[in-house]
Amino acid sequence: MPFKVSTTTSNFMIGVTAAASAGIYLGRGYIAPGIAMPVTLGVLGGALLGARVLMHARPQVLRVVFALVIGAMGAEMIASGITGRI
Amino acid sequence: MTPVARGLVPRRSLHGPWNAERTERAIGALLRGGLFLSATIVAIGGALYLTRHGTAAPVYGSFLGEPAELRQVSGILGAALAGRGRGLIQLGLLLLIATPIARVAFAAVAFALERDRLYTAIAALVLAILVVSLMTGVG
Repeated sequence: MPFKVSTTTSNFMIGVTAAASAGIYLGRGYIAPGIAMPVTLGVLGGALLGARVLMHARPQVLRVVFALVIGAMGAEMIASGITGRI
Repeated sequence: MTPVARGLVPRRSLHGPWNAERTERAIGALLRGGLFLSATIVAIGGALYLTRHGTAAPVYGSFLGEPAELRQVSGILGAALAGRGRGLIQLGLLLLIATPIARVAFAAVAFALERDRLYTAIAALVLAILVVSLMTGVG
């Protein structure tokens, strides 16, 4: 499966199915506007930029960048968990 | 169009006013419109929230749920109309949640106009699942 096709399809499917659960989280008071606001604007900006960059990007480069970002996020989460910092 | 993009759009009826390409373009416009409207409202609400409460220290150490007012559609609308930052942010998030649901509802109608029974049934089923989970899961 090509990298671009598989990531965009999985993102699309997550978007539709997450709509149901997002409404439930909101209804139970689990969505804090102060946190959701920067997350939403950042994700939307990144998605718009990413959709344009993706058309011209080389899959090999994307694969490396994706692995580095996911690896850095994982390391940060593990470090936060060990130090007990929230 | 690239071969990949052509493969993603099933070639159905190409005659009449409603064909697959027109449906895809209308869905794209719907998604983009909902997205920009939602982002604008969230940005306005965020600016108001930050100017009023931006200097207060956040309390994230213990979990505090949102007040009942920011959980229900009626409460969120009231808070947003009163010009409260958090109410506007929640209203934008509600629109963001409603956008993909509207997309599925629109797809069901468009497939019905195309007289594509199988795809109409699939879209209606997905819409029913979304609505039932929202109705039964909240509260």
